Amino acid sequence: MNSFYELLVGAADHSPEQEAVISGDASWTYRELKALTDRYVEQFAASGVGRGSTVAVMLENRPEAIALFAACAASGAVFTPIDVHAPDQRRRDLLCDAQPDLVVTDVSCAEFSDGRRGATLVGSELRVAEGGGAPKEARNDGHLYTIYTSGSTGRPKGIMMSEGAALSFFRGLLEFMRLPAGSRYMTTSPLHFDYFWLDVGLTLASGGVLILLDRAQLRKPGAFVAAIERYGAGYVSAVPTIWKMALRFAAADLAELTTLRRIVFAGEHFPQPHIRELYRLIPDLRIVNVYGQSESIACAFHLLPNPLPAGLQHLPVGRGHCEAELFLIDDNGREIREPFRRGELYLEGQLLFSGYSNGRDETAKRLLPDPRSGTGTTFRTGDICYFDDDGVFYFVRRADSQVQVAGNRVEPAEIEAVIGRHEDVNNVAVVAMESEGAITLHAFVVPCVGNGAHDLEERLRSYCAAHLPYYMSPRAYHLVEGIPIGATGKNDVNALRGLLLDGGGERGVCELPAS
Amino acid sequence: MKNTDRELFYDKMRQFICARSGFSPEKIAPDTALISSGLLDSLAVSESVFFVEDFVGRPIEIDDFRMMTFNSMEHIYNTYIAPKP
Repeated sequence: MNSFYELLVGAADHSPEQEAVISGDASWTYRELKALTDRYVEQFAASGVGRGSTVAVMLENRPEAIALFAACAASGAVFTPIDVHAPDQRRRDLLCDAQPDLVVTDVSCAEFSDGRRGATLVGSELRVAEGGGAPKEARNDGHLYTIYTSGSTGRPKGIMMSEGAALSFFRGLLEFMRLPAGSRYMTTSPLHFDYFWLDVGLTLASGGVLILLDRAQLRKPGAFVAAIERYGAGYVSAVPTIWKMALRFAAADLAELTTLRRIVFAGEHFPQPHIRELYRLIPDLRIVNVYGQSESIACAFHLLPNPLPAGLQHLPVGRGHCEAELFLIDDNGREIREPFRRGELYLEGQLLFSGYSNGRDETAKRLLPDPRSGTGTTFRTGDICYFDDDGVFYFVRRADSQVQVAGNRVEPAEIEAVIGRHEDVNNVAVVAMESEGAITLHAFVVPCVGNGAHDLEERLRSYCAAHLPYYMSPRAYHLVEGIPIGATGKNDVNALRGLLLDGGGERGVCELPAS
Repeated sequence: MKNTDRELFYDKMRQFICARSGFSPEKIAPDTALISSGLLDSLAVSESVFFVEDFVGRPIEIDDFRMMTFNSMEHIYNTYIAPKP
């Protein structure tokens, strides 16, 4: 496996006629997937898209997107998936940051190239608009893709991964769980999630059959469970929120499944009662906990035992795969060597990202010299963890306020920055509350004097709907006269959380002291 | 169907949404964004699919089911309940 292109379509060389990807009622063999990829490579070359170009892709999770990523990798262009369901303004902001040379959309949002050169997918045919200059100077130093995630500075941040880092990650993943050839693996993630690409790379490099579920079906848990059986999926990758919905609305159907053997999950906490219930309903099932940050795709995997041991405080995430070195640093900057002592997780290896697209300062805070030696490069994850006597790690919490909402990484500070820009808002604090494994976002808002609070909640709801992805829009608003300030001079989030816990969580009734 | 069916649906749907979000019924207009504004989470959206299927007395076809079709009462009514011309 010498290249990302080979990772995705290399199986065509030995198993050309095997099914590679299924979407709806259609399927593509490895030969067909590779042929489609090669056609895109030729089109890119003919259109001046090559080494140093950036290709933004706004599509649902369809087979052509996989061929486009492989084609970008083969052409030396940077692949940048953009959330096709994000509000228009946010997509514009992301395009503005990515500065793509080509924006690939399907016919449903063909107008969205936003003044940039567009390419429209009609079926599998890529229609590239005329124009565009000569190929750029080669400035690509192995940059493979950029994935956007919520940014604590108030803007989304792009995580830039090199081909070498991605291949390192996939070596680690395949070493841990290469699938038997022909395995049927269903993915439910959207294109702009790197876990989607984990599913794609794992399945295709193993010579498996990747099943792309139409994500609209996730709205109907019964339809999702029925699809697992209909496609004969032995592996299903889905975030815990999706399993929670399946347990709630389609438990009887889960118990009837005959093909499902492995659940692969990542992205958020999986409440133990849900895991135990899944194990009870599907006795042969095992669940794979994929743990990590998009800055390395993932650094550890763990096959959770069935049944789960009693009295487990946290879910084990594993020792770290063969391409990742994990270690913990205490508050004094020293490495923790004793089991069960908590510290911040650092990560070392070839699998690390190259930096954030728009933030040299942010990058410098996260990519640091190894604190043990002062040399090399490590990734400071911001996760608080410990390990047990066997060296198996456990995730406890974040060191900062980052949370996962239905599998999406969210920085409350970014929501605060967006709401804070609203003309009628004087101050705002966003607090994440957890209950039964689900995160609810609360916004405490101090209205501007004069404009009053009239209809402010409704106005803020429409405003957030236009500026933030749905999972970042606060569920509850509390209009208050002031927000308590903590010792550091910032909004005192803990005081606000305490108010919600004390029963002030009823909407809008928090009695807050003016600060 | 007459317009009263539309009003009846909006009333029932309003009650359903308020029971889950704590939002006051009079603040939910037919075109109020339900998902993108954070009013309904994933779980509540799934519940609302059941609610609508209950209301129309038949399953909703997955084929014309898109992510944001459930984003407002008006959209839901026009897509799944209003008689097709």
